[in-house]
Amino acid sequence: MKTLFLISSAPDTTEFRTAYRTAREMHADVCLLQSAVYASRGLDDKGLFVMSDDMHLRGIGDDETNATVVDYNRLVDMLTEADKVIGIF
Amino acid sequence: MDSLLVILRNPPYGTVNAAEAVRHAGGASGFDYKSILYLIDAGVFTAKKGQDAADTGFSGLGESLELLSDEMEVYVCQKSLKEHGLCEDDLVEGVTADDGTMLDHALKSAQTVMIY
Amino acid sequence: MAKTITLFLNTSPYSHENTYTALKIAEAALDKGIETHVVASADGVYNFLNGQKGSGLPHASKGFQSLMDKGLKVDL
Repeated sequence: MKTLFLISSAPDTTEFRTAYRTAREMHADVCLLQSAVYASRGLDDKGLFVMSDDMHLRGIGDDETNATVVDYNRLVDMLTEADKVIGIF
Repeated sequence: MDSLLVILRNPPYGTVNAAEAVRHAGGASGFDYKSILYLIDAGVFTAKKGQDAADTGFSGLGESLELLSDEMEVYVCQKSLKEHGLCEDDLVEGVTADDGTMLDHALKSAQTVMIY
Repeated sequence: MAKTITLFLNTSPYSHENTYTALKIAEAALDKGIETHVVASADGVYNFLNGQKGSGLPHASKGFQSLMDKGLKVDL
């Protein structure tokens, strides 16, 4: 089963840590949105995506992350291709 | 002179806290308050260079800080900068890194403290 | 079976960035011809009030109205 987690909480929060750990335990893909994009500067995991709009709004350049940078068009494809999307964090 | 210290602990855009902190600190300076905005914890990201609001509808807060720093004091906690992988070169003009000395002083001297 | 996307929005429009994220995902989905729904619950219903005067952040009701004109379906 292909699972996608959408994480929006800032990296220094309990919500982020719980969501990220759970996603990794489930071998799920993760897309970082909103304040979670700050985490893309320090993570280098497989299946990690980050929203370009939210990065640029926060002054984070595409060259500051090893995650795959996506736009909303690509995110919609990921949402429709996944068997399950979990976006509550 | 009346004085206000605004402490911002949250990063910008995800919630309205950063925008409100900047708005209230800037507003107070417009009413002849001695106004200090202190960025700590993830609030330090509010001073990161290169924020591009483009056509999102958000007001760019880095740019607002730079403009408001002419009329109020803006400090960034050095320890928080390091914890969040930033250095002083990553920050917009007009903000000053603080080792805790200014925070200590401002907490003691400000008449009012607002925490976001 | 045709693809659909349903977004669940339960936060108020000017305290969180979720409104902006929902607007952008819905816009991109509608542009792809995907049937798109927003289900608003709890404080999320405030996104759809008339007469909002927000500034400095994306305007919620104008944004959703524009997408509803393009086919977005909303349930409160």
